[in-house]
Amino acid sequence: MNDEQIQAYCIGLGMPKALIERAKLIHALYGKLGINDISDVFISEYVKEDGERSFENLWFFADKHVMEAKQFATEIDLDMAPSTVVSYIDLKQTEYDLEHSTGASRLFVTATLPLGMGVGLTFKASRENCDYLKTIVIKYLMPRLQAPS
Amino acid sequence: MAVEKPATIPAYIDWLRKEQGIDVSGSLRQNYRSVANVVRTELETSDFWKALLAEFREFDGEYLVKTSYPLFATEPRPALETKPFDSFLLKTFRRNVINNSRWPDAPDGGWLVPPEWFGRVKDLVRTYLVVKYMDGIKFASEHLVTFAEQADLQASVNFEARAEGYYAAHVYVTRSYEIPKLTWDTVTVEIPAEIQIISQLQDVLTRLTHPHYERRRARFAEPAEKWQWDYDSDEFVPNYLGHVLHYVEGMIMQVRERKEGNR
Repeated sequence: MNDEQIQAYCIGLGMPKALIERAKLIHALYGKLGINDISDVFISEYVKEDGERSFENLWFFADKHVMEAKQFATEIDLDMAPSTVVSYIDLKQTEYDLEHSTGASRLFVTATLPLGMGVGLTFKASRENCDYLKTIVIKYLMPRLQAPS
Repeated sequence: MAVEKPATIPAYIDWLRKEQGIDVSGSLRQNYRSVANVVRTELETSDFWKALLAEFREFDGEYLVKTSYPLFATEPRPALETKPFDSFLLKTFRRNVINNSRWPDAPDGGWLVPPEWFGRVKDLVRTYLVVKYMDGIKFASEHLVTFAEQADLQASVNFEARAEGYYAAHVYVTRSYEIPKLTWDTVTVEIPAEIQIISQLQDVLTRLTHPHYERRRARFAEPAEKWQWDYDSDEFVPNYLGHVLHYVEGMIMQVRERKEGNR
């Protein structure tokens, strides 16, 4: 995944330029840590009463890792975890049929990685970002769903 | 069947899940972090906060004219910090369980659970100001409250004087924040931010004794022997040093005021 692809996704969410640059910076930081096979990005967000999106956490996905930059707009706090096995997935949705998102669609997904105490992944999406999140669930979480060994 | 009173944090987490339906999971932690970040960022970028930072110069000038001494030791640039989730959870444990004299019923004001708990734990976001002299604490806190009220915000002050030798003023400035709920909605909650005002001497002591404070805070039961009688305990010297310093600061004020011919 390159900067142009990250930018295209972020622009689609209506993200301010400064935050897009921040997302690209964090992508580069993961690259400096040796993770060079990032293939997807997701930004966890919610809609405020005035209809504006509030952007929370930045996620990157690679073949064997999932990465989260918490509160990426204001902090550099980079998480990484192996994602070869997912032990639990929970989806909550409103106004979303998992096919066609509308302006009222919301999707909330939690997943558990069986690492010691159990590492939880939490994703929030609104409107068309629900479709991105659904893709992430299908591409990265569902295929890895199995009982912990 | 009577509900067993949790004695440890894991037992409290279990009680929250079974009795309150609250799962202290990664999602709850993430939600807490998002809320704390919203509060900190919105306060930091608010007109009120920007004006307050500029107003400290006026506070200093007014105090200087009144007393001939500077209010602040250095130019105040208070940074807003968010309380870590584990400290927050510990505080709710103390309020819901340890210090709840009505257990197994809810404490005064009801159970401290989300999303209301964000508005009822008063130091979700906090910062501190250091003034040079004891009377500067009262001066700065009163001016801060007035300044916040002029900006149509709720404000109050508590003058803390604890048995453990902690002396400070805690100013609370409350405003509305639209915070994210666990899933996708938002809710508007009145949330206070805490501004601690302490003297320079107490600041030195607080920095020295912070590890003792952390250990005491993580303790769920009082030791059999009161620290006041255990002269060899970790707390005896720093706690009494806090009282001694407060006394010394009072004496400094007396000397200063006599010198000024005000007495």
